[in-house]
Amino acid sequence: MLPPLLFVVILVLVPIVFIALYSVGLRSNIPGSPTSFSLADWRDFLTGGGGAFRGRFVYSIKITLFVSVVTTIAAYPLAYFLSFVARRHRYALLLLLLAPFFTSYLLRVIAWQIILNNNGVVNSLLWALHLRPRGSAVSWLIYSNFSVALVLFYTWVPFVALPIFVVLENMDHRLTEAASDLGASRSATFWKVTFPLSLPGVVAGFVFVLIPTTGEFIAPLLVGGPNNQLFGNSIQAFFGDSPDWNYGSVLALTLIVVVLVMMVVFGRFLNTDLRAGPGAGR
Amino acid sequence: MKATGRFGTLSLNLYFWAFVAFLFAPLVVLVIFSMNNNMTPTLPLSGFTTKWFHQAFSNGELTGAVARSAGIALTTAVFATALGIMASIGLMALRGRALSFAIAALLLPLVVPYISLAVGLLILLQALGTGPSLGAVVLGHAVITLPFAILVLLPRLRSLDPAMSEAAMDLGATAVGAFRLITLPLIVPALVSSGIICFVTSFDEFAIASFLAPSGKPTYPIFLYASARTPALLPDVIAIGAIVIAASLLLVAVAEGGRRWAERKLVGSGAAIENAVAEPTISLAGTQ
Amino acid sequence: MSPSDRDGVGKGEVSLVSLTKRFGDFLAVNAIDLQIPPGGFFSLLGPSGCGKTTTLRMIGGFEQPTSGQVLLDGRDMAGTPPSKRPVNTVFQSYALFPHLRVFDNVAFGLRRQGVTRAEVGRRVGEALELVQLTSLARRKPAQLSGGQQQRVALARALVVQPSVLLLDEPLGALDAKLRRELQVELKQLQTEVGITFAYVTHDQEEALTMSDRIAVLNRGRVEQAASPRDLYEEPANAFVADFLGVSNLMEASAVGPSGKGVELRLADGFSVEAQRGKLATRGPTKVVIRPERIRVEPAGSGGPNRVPGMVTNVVYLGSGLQLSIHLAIGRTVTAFVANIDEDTASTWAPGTPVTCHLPSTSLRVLGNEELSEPPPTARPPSVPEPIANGT
Repeated sequence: MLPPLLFVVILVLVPIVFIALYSVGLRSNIPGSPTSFSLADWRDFLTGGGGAFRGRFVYSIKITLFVSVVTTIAAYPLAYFLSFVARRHRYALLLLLLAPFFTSYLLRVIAWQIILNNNGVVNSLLWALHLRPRGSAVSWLIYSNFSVALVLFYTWVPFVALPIFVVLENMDHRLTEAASDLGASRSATFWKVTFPLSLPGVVAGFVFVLIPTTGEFIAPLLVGGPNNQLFGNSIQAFFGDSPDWNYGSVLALTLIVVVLVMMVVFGRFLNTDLRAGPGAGR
Repeated sequence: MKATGRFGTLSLNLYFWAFVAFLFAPLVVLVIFSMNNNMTPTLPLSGFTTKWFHQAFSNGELTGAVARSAGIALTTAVFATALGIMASIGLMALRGRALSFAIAALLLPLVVPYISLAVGLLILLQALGTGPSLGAVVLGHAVITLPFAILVLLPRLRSLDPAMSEAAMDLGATAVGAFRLITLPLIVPALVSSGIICFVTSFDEFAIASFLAPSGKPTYPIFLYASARTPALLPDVIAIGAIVIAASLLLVAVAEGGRRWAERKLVGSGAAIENAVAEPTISLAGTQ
Repeated sequence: MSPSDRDGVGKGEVSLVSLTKRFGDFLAVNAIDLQIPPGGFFSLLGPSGCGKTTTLRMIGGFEQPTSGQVLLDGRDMAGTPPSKRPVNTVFQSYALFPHLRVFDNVAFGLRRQGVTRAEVGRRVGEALELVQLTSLARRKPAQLSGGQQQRVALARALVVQPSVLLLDEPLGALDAKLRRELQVELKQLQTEVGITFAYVTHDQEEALTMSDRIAVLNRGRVEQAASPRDLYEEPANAFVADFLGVSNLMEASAVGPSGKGVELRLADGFSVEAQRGKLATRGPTKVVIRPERIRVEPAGSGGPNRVPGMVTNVVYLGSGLQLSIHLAIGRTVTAFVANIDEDTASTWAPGTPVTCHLPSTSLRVLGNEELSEPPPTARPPSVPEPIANGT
């Protein structure tokens, strides 16, 4: 028990502490540089000249929320299909849905780049079908909000469908039978019985996409334009190309805090089975 | 009354299968272009060729990156699964507040955005005075895959009748013997699942690897990213990509088929088989 | 598998000395003193939560006593792990190893002891024959029925020749008919094998049927330990009286000596003589009488120890009638009338005025014990109690 705990503490908590220290100037990545407590970088980011980063933060949140909502809505019918329509083969079909998830994420983003590119599959198809003059590409297809949102949507829908599916599976199907016994139409049964009972799964799915997407930075690198970079990209820049570990730590810590807040807010709706033993909660 | 009428069933079917097509389309695109006789992946197709595969395999950097990632992923899988078993056994003995606290601590990596964790680990390395290394990548990957290992192993351990270990000891086995003879064989499918999940996650991981890997030794995702911006390397990338995708899908199919087969053999045919895919408890996630 | 096969093994006598177990604030077992004589069928009987399973687990070594001792054939078992005790357990869930065949399940204990392969084969064969499962040796537990699984668990525990076999409600998961069959088989098995069986159950009918001796437990204490007959006929207190069958527990006032017993005033104008139990009691007391001992007579019949009443409810049991009779003393009793002839059912229909003769040799005075809580409601014998955890 102890070694794993220690492992996580050292490799997660300690780095976070360091990030915090960097964000207030108590450490520096430049050897020999003086260090003293300073909230200057925080002030700059929150209220001062760091407007660009604040803007990017807001933009990231907007994209994240939009993608999360759309993804969850799109995932629901998939989960419903698996649980109520595809009864016999539902686990095999679930696996089919999840299978792409197990292939390389970068490869899939690169694939979308190929598809959406200025001379990629979509555009060259349009040219071949004479729907557009050759060489004229659809501008909003790549390096745009659309491409970033599409890639994120594409990546997360199967994963969001999973908790919804689990909840629908665990739902006592006799309740829907009882509803139709009492004369409810299919639509009424769905909206008044099935859907409300499946909400915990929906919230879980929403969180499943919300949390990782908040910190996303890979998709914008490959299919995003200069105006589509997300907050994660800013963090990346401060630790890579033009290092300013102090300012970067401010952003990194902000991201951690924002995700934690989201967790707390939405965590109330989640029901972790982990504390229960076999058969509990059924 | 069935849950959906004819119209509902039809439209849901259409929606589902259209979505599956949507999901697999990019993969199919990659496979097609990996055999397309054109430097640039564009339509119309230019004829079948296998030259990209030859070129890719003779690209030492590329194959080196793949091998490096495979090695890291394998190490991560073994390490994280072993830690996961240790953690799960420890968690079984806890109750109440101690249990909640321990679980929260062990699942912590799931709620920290990978980019923040990556830079945090970079800072940690610098503070320790060591620079980037492949070992650091393994440690980073192990800490983010440990929660997955626990999420797979703990429910499986919990589902075992605790009386079985007691019975084994009642009949003369030591605690270690009971674990080795009774518990371990029964969790082998879960161990394999855990290993596969950790392997796949590590193999594909970009954020932590990009900050912790030494500059001359890229992992496969790092190499992919660099190549994606270099049109000349694109065909190689696509070729290897097609292979990786095919291998991944094959792995998933084999793993699932193998798991079902193993469980059937384990407890005899005609017995109830739980489905591990649907087992995942609702958890807090982040996989990038 | 007979007693003579075992060399150097004790007779299987268990002594519990002031045995106590506390879980946090909860006192599960409260300083129990109990002797389990060797070679017999002994039951620990009691309602859910009374501590019987905890006691059994302490004998087996799966729980450590908070204080007190477990002695097996005179030896203190403190510090001895289950693997080293001459005791084996049949668990409530059977706890068979699902990945091993029946043969390997049964052979498990022998193999831990390093028994030779040939010997393992011989003894496992004997054990499977004992429980009539020889043909199923190659199957896996999931392919067996509940009753068959239970027998595998038995064979597995018996093959290592313990001095004492502990059984934790092994028949709980089975349907009524199978239970009855297996009760008989278990009893026969115990007689055949000859070792001590310590059996935990909440089903009083089961305990009465199978046991040579029963300890009735309630909230961590032994209320009474005696033979089935003594427990039923001579319950020590209201709890025991009420737990085994119907007791018709009544409040009365013990006035003074009368004839061969004591005069009890049940209510104004109604006194009876009781000749069993604590006859020296004076003042408020409890008294019990079994339903089958109440003689139901037509209204107006005279004589001592008679109370008029009226039949309020009849349950047709097939073998007889269970009558609820509201007595003139303001209390309702349950009486049992055998189905002697075809008129019986119509004779005692609801609404019939009757006279209840409470024979003095059937009235048992329990004395004036303080019960902090009323005993659990008596249930008709054939309704099984739900199985609860933590007993």
